[in-house]
Amino acid sequence: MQKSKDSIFQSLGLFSFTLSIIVLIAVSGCENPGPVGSGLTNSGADIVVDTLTLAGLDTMRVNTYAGGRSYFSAGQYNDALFGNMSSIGMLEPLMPSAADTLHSGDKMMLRIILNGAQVYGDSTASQDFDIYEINEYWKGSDRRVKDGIKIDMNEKVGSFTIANEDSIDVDLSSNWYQKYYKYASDSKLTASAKDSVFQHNVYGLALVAQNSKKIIPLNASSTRFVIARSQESDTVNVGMAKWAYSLSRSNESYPQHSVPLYSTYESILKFKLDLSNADIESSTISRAELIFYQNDSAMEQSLQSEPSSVQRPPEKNIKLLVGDTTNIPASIDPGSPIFTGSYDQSDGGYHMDITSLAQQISLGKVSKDQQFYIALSNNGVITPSLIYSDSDQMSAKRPKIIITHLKNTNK
Amino acid sequence: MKRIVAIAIVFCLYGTVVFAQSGNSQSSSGSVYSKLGIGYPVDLQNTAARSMGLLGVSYNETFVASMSNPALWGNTVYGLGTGGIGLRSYQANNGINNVRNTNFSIDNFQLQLPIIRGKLGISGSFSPVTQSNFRTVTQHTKIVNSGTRQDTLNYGLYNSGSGGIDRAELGVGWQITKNISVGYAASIVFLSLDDEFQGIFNRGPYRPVNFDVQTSGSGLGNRFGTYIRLPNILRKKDQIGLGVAVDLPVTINATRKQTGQATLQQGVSFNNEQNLGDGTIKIPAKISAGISYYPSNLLMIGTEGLYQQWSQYHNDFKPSEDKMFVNRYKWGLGMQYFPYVTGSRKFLSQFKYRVGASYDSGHLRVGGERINTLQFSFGLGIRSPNSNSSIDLSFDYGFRGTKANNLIKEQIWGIHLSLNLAEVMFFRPKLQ
Repeated sequence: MQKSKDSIFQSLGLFSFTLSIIVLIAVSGCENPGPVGSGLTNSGADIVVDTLTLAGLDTMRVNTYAGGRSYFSAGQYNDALFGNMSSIGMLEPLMPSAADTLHSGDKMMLRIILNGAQVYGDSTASQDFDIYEINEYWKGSDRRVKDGIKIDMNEKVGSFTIANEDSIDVDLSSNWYQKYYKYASDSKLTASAKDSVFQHNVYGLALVAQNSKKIIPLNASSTRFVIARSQESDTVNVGMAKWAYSLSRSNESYPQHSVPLYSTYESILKFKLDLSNADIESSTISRAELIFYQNDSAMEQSLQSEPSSVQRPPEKNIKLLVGDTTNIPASIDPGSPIFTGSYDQSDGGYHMDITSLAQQISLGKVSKDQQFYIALSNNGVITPSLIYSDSDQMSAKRPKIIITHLKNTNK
Repeated sequence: MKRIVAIAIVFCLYGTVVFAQSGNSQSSSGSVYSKLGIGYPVDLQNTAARSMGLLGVSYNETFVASMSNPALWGNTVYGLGTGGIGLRSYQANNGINNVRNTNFSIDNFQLQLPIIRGKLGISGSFSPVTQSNFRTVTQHTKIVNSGTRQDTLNYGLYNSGSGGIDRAELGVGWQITKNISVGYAASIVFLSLDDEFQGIFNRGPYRPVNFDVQTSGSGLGNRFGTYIRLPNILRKKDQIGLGVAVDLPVTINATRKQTGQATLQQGVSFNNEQNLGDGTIKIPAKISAGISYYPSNLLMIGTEGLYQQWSQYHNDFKPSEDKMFVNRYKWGLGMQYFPYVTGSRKFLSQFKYRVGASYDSGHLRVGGERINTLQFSFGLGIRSPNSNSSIDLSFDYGFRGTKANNLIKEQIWGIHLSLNLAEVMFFRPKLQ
């Protein structure tokens, strides 16, 4: 009888346990949370869009690298806004390959291939160039934009006029070719030594503009020297050993509250990012967007008196860079842009998604003293932009950061 | 002995399963009103008292531990241990939307031991004081940017809360005379509240965002109680019990911090933490009282109530909510019937039966409406045939709140289970 009673107790205990588990599972499966109850009190959080103006924006003039880029510019143009520019294109041919035998009676041409869409100035006007020999040794990779160059103006190597063509062949003088041939045909030199010896004795050619119609960007990978061989009735293509440009600019005249940005780093922007006043935590940042507005109206107005064929190379992107301030420009050109912003024609702004950077700043993983730089891409094409600065306190076009975040409204 | 140990193991496993689900689990949420303040108050009743809609201050059950009135510990004869768990389902409706939430909870643990049998007893317990378990989801639309870049941003805000105030208590009860007992208990109360928010967007490049506000702190609590037994009042062998218990106000010194996890890139995430400051939270005093009548040892009828000065509640972290708190009244009426006392061997006579109802005016007034609760309860006690241990089951059904003024009415179903051990690991009465 006692055993029977125990059994009842155990069975009922087990029953209640099992019943509870079944109810637990059944009811939890029916859970269906929703908006009910959300309005009882302050919700405690909401998505907020904060706009922070970027203060402490400064311009910086950097004499950066001008050699070995995808393009090198030559020409002259007087821009009412961005000043009078004169760019000398510099190039030096490689020696021919060992298989290509040259003769003294051969003729040498310069085949110029340019990017017509990136012409700065009047794209249809005729721009005259003379080609001279350079009179000093220069290094392609170390060459800076503002570095001067000695040119032997006594003897013209060639000349050409370019209007709206994308390519042109320019005959080079026989004297120049003979100098080239002397080293190319030197049987005492090994093939690899020829280039070095040639470059240390003959310094290459300079493309010097003769009028001020435009600046053309020469494509460094396709512009080449072509040697028409007299005995074989064929041509030999010779690439460039080095190339660069030397730019001078004067009489810039841009409006108040605007600062120029040049692809040549003649003017870049620098600033520090401090979000400490924003009271934003990294985990709550949904999106952070850095915006620099281009002064489109000033840029367009300055071209109104010009023919419709006058253009400035359009710049669609800006770069956000960090670099060692003691190692400028090496640390920022080319550098590794941490973010790239795209130009949006609808509002004239360069928009850059810097969410992860804002999160890192909020986490304290980026020093408050970290210097950031904004620059255009330096690929050898001379490109300008005019950016609204932070100096006009009332302007809606001041550089800004728009942060969309989840705000604790119960603080 | 083996059977009791087996039951205890089952109980522990059961508790573990439920506790695991009730922590910060996404599937556990309770009353939407627990979002306010520091959670919804939890009364100190055991499952037996809950079955009758009572608090348990005015009667003593020899084989079932009770926390309601410290004075009752003076009547401790056996070593008693009890633990309870509960499951509640809340169906909330605001006139437009319907949601269903379920909440699993550990009700309490208590150990009650006699120092001098029937004269002096002590109690140690761990029990909840308030409980916050809620989850809401709301959809929002925001116009962002302007001019040609104007855009409509759709996002969802998820808010879930968990935690509350728990109490670790140690107390003593003394039976001064055969009919008068007094008791006192000191406690440390721990506050641990998590309020988690998430923002989810319907498209990129907006990233999901989150933060968690954690409020934690502690304070000291004091309780006093008295119990008066009046035998042979209306008839021979009847008994009236009078009990009063007073909880003094508790001030919790708390700190609040905001944490969150930011994902910088796939697989790389960091935690951020921000201290939001210190503050105090004042839990108001409470008085519970009741009267019970035993016409015989077969039947008990009782009525009990409580009053708590929630108008004195203050929370430094949410001062704007203070005005929503009003003084709370609760009244319950119930009875229990123990047919096994007659010695009947019928199957249905092996159980304890309890039934009752309670009305709670609530501690909140929202939008001019009191958030009251009406609840009906029924309970079943399953006795161990060869010991004094038992299992108590309680089922309840009730309503909370109102749909007036766009508020929420909740339909509540609940089941609670407690295991009452009355001898294991302690001593058998025959040894004394």
